[in-house]
Amino acid sequence: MSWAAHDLEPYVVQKHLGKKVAFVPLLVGSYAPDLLSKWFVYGVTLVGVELKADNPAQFHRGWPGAGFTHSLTFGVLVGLLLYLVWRNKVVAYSFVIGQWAHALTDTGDTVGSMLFFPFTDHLFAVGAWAYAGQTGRYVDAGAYFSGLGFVWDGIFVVWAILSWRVLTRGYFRTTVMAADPFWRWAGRYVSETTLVALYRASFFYGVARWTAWLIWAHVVRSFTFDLRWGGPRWVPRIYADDLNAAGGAAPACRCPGCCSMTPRLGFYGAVAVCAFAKGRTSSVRDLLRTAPRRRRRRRRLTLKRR
Amino acid sequence: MRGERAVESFILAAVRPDGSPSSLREALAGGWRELALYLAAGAVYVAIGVSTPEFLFPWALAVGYLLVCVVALPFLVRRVRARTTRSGRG
Repeated sequence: MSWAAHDLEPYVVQKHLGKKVAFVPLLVGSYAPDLLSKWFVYGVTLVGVELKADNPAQFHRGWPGAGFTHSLTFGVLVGLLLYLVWRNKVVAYSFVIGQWAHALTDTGDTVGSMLFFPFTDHLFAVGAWAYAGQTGRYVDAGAYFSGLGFVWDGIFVVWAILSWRVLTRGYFRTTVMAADPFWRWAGRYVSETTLVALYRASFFYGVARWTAWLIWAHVVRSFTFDLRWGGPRWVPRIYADDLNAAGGAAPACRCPGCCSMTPRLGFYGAVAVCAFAKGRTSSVRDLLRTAPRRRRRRRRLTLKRR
Repeated sequence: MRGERAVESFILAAVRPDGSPSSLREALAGGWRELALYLAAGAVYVAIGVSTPEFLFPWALAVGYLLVCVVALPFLVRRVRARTTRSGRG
């Protein structure tokens, strides 16, 4: 699970897709998988009765449980439902993008997500940081902000800050409002300042929370940093294999995802694909293209000087 | 006429087609007060969150807090200021 990435992903997507996406469905999609399940993972006490899942990881990510909300199919189905209700393609696929971003991000921990449910209930996990939802909110926070999880969220914090243009009032007025019917509707009732504050709220929440948890975990409490793969090792972790085996599958999974590559190699592959995609769409590729020209110019200039 | 065109071209150069300012410097020149307000709200939120981590969990609470800090409080301050200036004149 991620503590800040789900808040910040919509802004990064918004920066890259502009008027092609509607922000509110994108944000709702990004929160959707955890909306109805997270409270039951950590547990709540209502009128003296504690409501908590017996097996939080199984309930959160597995089947039987609410793990289907972390599948790609769930996003498509809700997207189709939204399309049937609103007859708006942008709203529908914006939700799908948000939900897919969440499901893919959650494969980063040791439990992962059932990406291809209902075709398979196999949990796809990269295993970069420990899943410790069963230990309760505070230990989970301490563990997350001591392992590679906080680094992953940190990447999104930096990426979202670099996308600062999407937070400006002019961008909101010209691009966000134009693409998303929600803001036009809400604009009839509240001032633009309120709308902009609402639009920026998740960014504020993500960045401030990331900072606060990091300070809390290492200044107020003394959780130990452990940036090893799958860490921190001091917290009791749950692995995808535990749940895959519990679900009736063979202990050593034979699915193509597990047989063809190690999760770490898969993660590096995914990063390489993202970098390549980024290079295709914007400045990295341009930089690579223009770099040899610059070198040639420099050579010419030095030759002329000589 | 020339002056108008110059102003128009200046505005077009300062704003990108997506509505955002062309550079960070221009964005800050127009909205540094707003940014300062958000940063102050963020700093207080972090301070409260570190001392009372329960405050960091609900998203709705963060949204409410932000609205109070950057919409309601500035509105109240403006109102109070307007009243005091009016009463000062009167």
